[in-house]
Amino acid sequence: MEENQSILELQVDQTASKNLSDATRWAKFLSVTGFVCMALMVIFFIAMQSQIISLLSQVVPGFTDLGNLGGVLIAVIIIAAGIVCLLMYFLFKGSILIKKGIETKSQETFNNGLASLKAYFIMYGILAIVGLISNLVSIF
Amino acid sequence: MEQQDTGNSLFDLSIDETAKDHLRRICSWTMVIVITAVIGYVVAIIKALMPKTQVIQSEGFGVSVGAGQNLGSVIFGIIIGLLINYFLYQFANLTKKGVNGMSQTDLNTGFYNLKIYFVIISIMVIIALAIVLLAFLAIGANARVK
Repeated sequence: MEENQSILELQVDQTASKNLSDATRWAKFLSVTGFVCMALMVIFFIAMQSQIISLLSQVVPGFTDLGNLGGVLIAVIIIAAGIVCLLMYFLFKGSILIKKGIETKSQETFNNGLASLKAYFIMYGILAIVGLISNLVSIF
Repeated sequence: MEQQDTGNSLFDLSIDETAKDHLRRICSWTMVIVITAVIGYVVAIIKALMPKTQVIQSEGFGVSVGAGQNLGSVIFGIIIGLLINYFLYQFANLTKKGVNGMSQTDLNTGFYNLKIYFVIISIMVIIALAIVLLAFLAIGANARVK
């Protein structure tokens, strides 16, 4: 059994490379879209800062009395956008390296791509857990 | 050039121990994401079933803030979320099976599910962006009319 395993190693065959190439193409699109959306969101919030604060002050009374809350709001949005951009960076790097690894048949590049994809899923998982905890806390 | 083509056979790239380790880790975290998402859907249903509407009094005017979401939209979101997470689950399950059981077929099917996962998310992002763009155009047109 072990002999068979060493001879018949798992390969990135034609089917696997096609599926992975397609997956990386869509992942690259997704990451680039993520970068663009985050940049647009930050620009939008900075440009519409006064309108957003006046809108929030209508919903939350005394919002305008809380000093420089607009700056804090922008900082929070920039940090959130930064976290999403980091997530998208791992996805982008993973997609680029996996595709390059398949095209050039470079084992090292392919493994580095998988490492970046792993980092993406780890970060995504941690964010999902944090989101779930905050969701559960909001019930009580 | 021909020599290079012969050298670059289809089976040059293998899933070595490093790649296997990365894939196992990816599968574990993917499972965490799927489980977290499913728990999140249960929480969303619970939240939708107990709608709370807070009324904030602001300078004599009652501003109503809907804290609970519409049950229909929650169910719609859950159906789409379950569809996406099904493919993520299949990717994790089959890839793990493929790596641990040295099954090329399972590994390939796992990668296929990863592709479908990214395709569905990308299509949904395109739809969402189109809706946002239409909303902005509608708001712009409305402002011009006024």
